[in-house]
Amino acid sequence: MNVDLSPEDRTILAALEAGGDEPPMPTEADETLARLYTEVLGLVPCELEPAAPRPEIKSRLLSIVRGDETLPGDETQEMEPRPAPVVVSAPVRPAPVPVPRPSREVPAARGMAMSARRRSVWPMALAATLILALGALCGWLFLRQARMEETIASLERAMDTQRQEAEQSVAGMQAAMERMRVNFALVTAPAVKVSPLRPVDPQSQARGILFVAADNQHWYLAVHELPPAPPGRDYQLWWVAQEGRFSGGVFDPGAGEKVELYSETMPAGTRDVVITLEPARGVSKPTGPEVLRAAGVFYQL
Amino acid sequence: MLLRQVLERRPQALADLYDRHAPTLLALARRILAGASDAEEILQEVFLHVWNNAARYDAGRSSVSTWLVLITRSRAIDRLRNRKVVERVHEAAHQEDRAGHASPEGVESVFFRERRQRVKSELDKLPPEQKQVLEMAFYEGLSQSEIAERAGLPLGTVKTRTLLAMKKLRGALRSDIRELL
Repeated sequence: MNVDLSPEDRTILAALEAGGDEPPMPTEADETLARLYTEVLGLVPCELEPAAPRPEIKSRLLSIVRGDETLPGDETQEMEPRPAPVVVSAPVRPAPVPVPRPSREVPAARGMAMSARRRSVWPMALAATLILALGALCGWLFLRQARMEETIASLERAMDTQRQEAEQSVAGMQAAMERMRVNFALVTAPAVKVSPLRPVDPQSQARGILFVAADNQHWYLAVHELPPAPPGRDYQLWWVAQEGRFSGGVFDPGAGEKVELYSETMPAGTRDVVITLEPARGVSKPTGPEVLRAAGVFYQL
Repeated sequence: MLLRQVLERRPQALADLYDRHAPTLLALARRILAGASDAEEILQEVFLHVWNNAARYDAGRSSVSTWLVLITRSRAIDRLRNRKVVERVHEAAHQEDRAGHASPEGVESVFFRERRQRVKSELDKLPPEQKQVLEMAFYEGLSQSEIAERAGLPLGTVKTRTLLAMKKLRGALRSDIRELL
């Protein structure tokens, strides 16, 4: 039996069988009619007793949309069921052939949807990772630069210290060389006079030699094998002249060290040299035992 | 309003939309599939679809609730067809109806309860043969030809009964439809 269908009838049947092809462009009246019957269909399930879903369904759904869980299979590429299409004059079409779709397997559309979602997330994740890495690199470089600057400053301080020490050492060496040069000039001068110093104690190995320049002012004394002074005592050099004894200086040799004394002045009329053991830092007049004494004569070399 | 917020990717809006419509949609999916597990799966798929495709909603063509109903119906029927057990499920669906799904208190607001009573009352007022073809078309997704074949009726008779049922419902539910527009 064939039924003559009005436009309204076709709209109703199209609404019931909606879900496939695009309808012909409807007129405004058709749109209104289609909307009315679409809403009728929307009301039909209101007859059913509502059923409360298990709470975990909602929890899982919200976890997924918040990104806590991966999508189980959102078919974003699937043809969306449409509200009732409007049919103007097209014959009634049979129901669209359903596309077989495995219910438990993940179809390609799901995969595409998940891929699309991943594609949208990956650039953000990559950018965030790069920003974090760049920040970490900047921080690391900043710390490294600070450490290097600290190291450089420390090295500069050490270099300054060493340079000062070297300069002091060089200055000391230059002074020593100058003294050696002066002393060498003195002891090698043709008019130098020499007087050996001998120990008062015959058992002692100590000895010395005094060089006096021709001007009778510059002198140089070298003492060998003089034992270290006892605690609280020092050796003291005395010039023996007509007017008495004058201190030539206080010294205390280390064990086995050679003592060198020199000066540019000597009391006038000096005729002998004596070294005594005196209280520490010396005295104005000799009080201790004599240790070394010159022979009382000066030899001309 | 809620759908606009869903479009702005606000999970709370989806949660509110879920609270408002999930009981009806789950009942629909259960009615079509006669399986609680599958029905809840469909329900979750529907709301994920809404989350990802809210921009595709056309307010000029349907209300939000109808859009959700049609998505749920389409997906549930697709699932049903895919199993190719339409007859068995049809039987189970009737058994399920007999067993009933008591909704917990508080799930259904007074507004929805009244609407449900009106729709159920109007559907019950339809002659059984009209209600039957309407249910076969709506809940089972059968075409007019398939209904004719299954019911052993001429195609023209099926179409006439369907059209009469739809037109009666449109007239009877005018106030509800107006609220949805």
